Amino acid sequence: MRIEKCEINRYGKLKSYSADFGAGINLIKGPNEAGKSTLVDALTDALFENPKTTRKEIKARTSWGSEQDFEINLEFESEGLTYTLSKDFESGDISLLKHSSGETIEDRKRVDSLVAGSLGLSNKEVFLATACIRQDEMARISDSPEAIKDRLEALITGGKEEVLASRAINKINASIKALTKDGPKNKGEIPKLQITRDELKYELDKAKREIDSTSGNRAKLREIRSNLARVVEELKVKSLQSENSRRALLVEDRVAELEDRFGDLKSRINIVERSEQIVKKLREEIAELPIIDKSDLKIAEDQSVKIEYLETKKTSTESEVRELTERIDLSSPSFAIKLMTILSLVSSGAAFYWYKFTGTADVNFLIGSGAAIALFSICAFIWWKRNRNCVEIKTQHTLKKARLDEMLEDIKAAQISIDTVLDKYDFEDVESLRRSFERRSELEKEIKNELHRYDEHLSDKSLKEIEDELREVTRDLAVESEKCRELKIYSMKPDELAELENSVKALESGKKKLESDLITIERHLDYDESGIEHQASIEERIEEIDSLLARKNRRLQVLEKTRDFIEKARKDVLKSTLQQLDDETSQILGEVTSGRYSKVRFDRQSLRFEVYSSEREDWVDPQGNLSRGTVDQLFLAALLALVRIISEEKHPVIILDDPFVTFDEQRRNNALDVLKRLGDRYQIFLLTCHDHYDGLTENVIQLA
Amino acid sequence: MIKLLHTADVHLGVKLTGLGKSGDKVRASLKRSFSDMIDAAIEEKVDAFLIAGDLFDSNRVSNSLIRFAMSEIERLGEIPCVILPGTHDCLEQGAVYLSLDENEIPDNLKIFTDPDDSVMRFKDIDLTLYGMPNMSRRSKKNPITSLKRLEGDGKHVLLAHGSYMIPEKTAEDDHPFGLDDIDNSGFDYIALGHWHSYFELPTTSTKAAYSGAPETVAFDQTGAGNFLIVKLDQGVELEKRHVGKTNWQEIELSTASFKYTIEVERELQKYVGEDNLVRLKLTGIASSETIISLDELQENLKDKFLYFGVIDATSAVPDDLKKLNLPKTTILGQFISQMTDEIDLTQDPDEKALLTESLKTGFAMLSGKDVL
Repeated sequence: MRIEKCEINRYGKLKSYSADFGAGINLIKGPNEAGKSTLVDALTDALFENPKTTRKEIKARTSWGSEQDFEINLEFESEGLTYTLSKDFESGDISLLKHSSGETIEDRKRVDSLVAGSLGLSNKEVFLATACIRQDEMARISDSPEAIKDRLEALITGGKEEVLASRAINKINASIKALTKDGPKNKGEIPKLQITRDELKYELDKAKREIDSTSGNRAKLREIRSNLARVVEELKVKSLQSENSRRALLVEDRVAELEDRFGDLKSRINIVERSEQIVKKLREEIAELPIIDKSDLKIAEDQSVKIEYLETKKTSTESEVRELTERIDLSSPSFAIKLMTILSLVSSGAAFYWYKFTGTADVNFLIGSGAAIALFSICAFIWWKRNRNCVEIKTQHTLKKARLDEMLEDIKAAQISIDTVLDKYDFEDVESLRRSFERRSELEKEIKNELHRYDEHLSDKSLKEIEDELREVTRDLAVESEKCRELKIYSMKPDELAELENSVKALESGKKKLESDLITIERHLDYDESGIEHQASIEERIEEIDSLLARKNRRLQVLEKTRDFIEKARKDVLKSTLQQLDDETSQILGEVTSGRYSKVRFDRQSLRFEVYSSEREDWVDPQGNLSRGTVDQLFLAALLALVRIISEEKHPVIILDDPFVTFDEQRRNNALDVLKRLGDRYQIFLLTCHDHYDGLTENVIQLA
Repeated sequence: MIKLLHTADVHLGVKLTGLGKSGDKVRASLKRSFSDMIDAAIEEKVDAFLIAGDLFDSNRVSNSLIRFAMSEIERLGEIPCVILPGTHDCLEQGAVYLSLDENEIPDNLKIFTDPDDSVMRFKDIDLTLYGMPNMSRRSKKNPITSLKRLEGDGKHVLLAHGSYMIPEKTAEDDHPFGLDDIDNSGFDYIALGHWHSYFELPTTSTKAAYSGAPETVAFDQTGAGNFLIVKLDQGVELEKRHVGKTNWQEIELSTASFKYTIEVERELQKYVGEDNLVRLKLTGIASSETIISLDELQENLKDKFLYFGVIDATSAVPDDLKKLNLPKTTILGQFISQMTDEIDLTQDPDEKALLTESLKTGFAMLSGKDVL
């Protein structure tokens, strides 16, 4: 490629700049800050930058104060054809005019591709890494062999293809990692699939075991069902027997209870009926008895007592009256007294008269007359005494007699009262009346007692109710007795029943166990989705996983192979590049040193150059073993060799921005020797502010 | 007239190789098809429901599957159902039919479980059924000649599970029989099972037919998905009814017509369906220009079908890359050169294919194509 012309507008210091360039070395001279580096940047942007870029560092290159972004037009020749490359960073337009055909290409990719093809350098990075040497860079490269390594690495990593290769390897590694990573938490697809597969395998083994046991379980199920059916039947029979036996016992107890109740009710009814009869009789009897007023009876009895008392009294009084009468008789002066009194009185009177008249009183007479007076006194006293007694007695007698009469009256009145009462009740005597009254009371009491007993037996129920109850009990008894007769065949002794119940319990327990076993097996069989269905499902999933795993593993193999081959190709290209680098560098150095040093090698491990010294007959490290000028030549040769290798003989433009500024004259001359040789094949832009290169070329562009 | 429903090879519980998770769905379809046949039998008021073998895919079926089948059969009510043990559910030790509990078997179900008692008479419908249960998966025993038609009126139908003998095609221990065996049997009809596709045998006197499986269970079964309604009157009339729920298709596409994944995906859209099982066979030459990602296809289409699988039958020829003749000073040139050399040197076809795929991947990546 050869740039013939450039037009630069609004680019930094180059507000409006145009220049024509020649083949070979073009010396661009100008003082510092004249815009030499700006020109290099402008040429680089013209060749590689996208005019539609919005990157600030590019936009910042527009001349200060300019309202529009910069534009650059380059006219260049490549392989005999002339092109004009125009990039307007204001409008973003790009065009490449093919002078031979007049065709204008405006597709940026095509333009970039054509420019890169003409340069032999795929992109800006490779261009800057190889064909563009800035101020002090050469010195730095010469001073530090690491710099060449950096450039090589930049080349290796900056090349588009290398970028693709590197990206491819990174992507492949990422894909491989995504497939294979096996962290405790973060697992790749293959380990995940393997885990899933292991889990499925485990599940399958389990399913198979279950399936193996399924047929056994089904046989067991049949056996259990059969046993269960047998036990259920036996249990049914024995339970019925036991139930009936228990029922028989219960019915017997019930019958006994009903019989007791029947007897009790019957007895109560009998008692009640008897009581009723008794009461009836008593009531009949009592009906025959008059209802005697107690006051009447009391009157009668009182009067009777009174009569009795009065009678007693009367008797005694009568006796006393009789006695008083007798005493009256006895106490009245007896006739003898009276007679003697009279006689004595008469005798005394007679004696008195006698003697008065006879005046005679003899002793006889006196005795007689005294006797007669004495007798008379005695007799008169007796007579008086007796008469007085008699009066008293008579008074007593009269009193008694009156009392007696009163008594008789009272008796009579009492008797009348009694008779009235007796007549009222038609009784002969009070005793009968009293007995009748007492009998009635007694009967009433008996009735009361009987009724009380009656009530006691009825227990707050009516006889009808008890009779109804009895009827009910009788009916129940009949029913239960019938049942009892029916269940008699099941009737057994309590110990036999206990034994039977134990047997039933044992059967129930056996039944429960069998039912539990049945449920377990049924559950097992249910859970055991088993059979082939489940197994098939797992096997299918394992197959799927296996297929997926195979695919992933194959993918992994493909990726590994791809990566390995890319890496190998990359290494081999590098190796081949390095070999070419050795060869090219050796050739250039040989030319520059007139064959003194014609063998150079780049150590792959240390990435350092070694030069074969024919004097020492050995490979030597240029640093410290060769002169500084030779070392400079070596590294310049190496850089130019790199350009040749990378550009594959496309001869790209080489830009050298005052690269030898720090070189002494000797070194500079040596370097210029190399440039002169290269100038035959390459267009070289040598930018400088010095006059060291005057006369080196006719193509001199002066920058103000 | 006696009307029978003839089916066979239901294969409940079948394992579906290569279908992965879709296997469960196909098994569910098998059940649905079986239920639909029961419905059809009820609707058609058939006189008997005949299963000529392989109701179950194995004797190791699950309890739930047995219960499903029994409950479905029970739905037939008064319609008798007769099962002949086939090859998959043969009457070997531990056979599913021998393990059935009495109370599990519906009243209307009869199973030929005794080789010495292989005749069932249904006086109500004037039908006599014969069936020699298969005692093992493989046997040379002829399932037709091993039974003789008894004297008597009514219709005499044989259930048999075996292979019509095609020389050099049929294995001699695949319960074989010939056309003459059928013609000389004297039966009114022979309900056959074992072949999954419907096939009426070219007999001259006795009519015999394979009903085929009610549901397809493999890509190579093209005539499955049917059952037969058999009408026995003066003659025998067969009516094929479709019952299969799933559609199995193997589609072959060539890289000659399709270069990109999207093109293949578009082409496959016309086969999309939730009951469709599609296996794509990609053939042709996978050149460096062919960018068909099978993984991507699988990923994009797996939910649009009951099952979607891909077989890569392409042959990768790296010659087209060789022809690019890229300089070895470039990584891509070096890569292609080294890989094609390696491919040329490798004898193992698998390794060759692997290297070719690596070559294609590397080529695409080094050409700036994002293939990962």
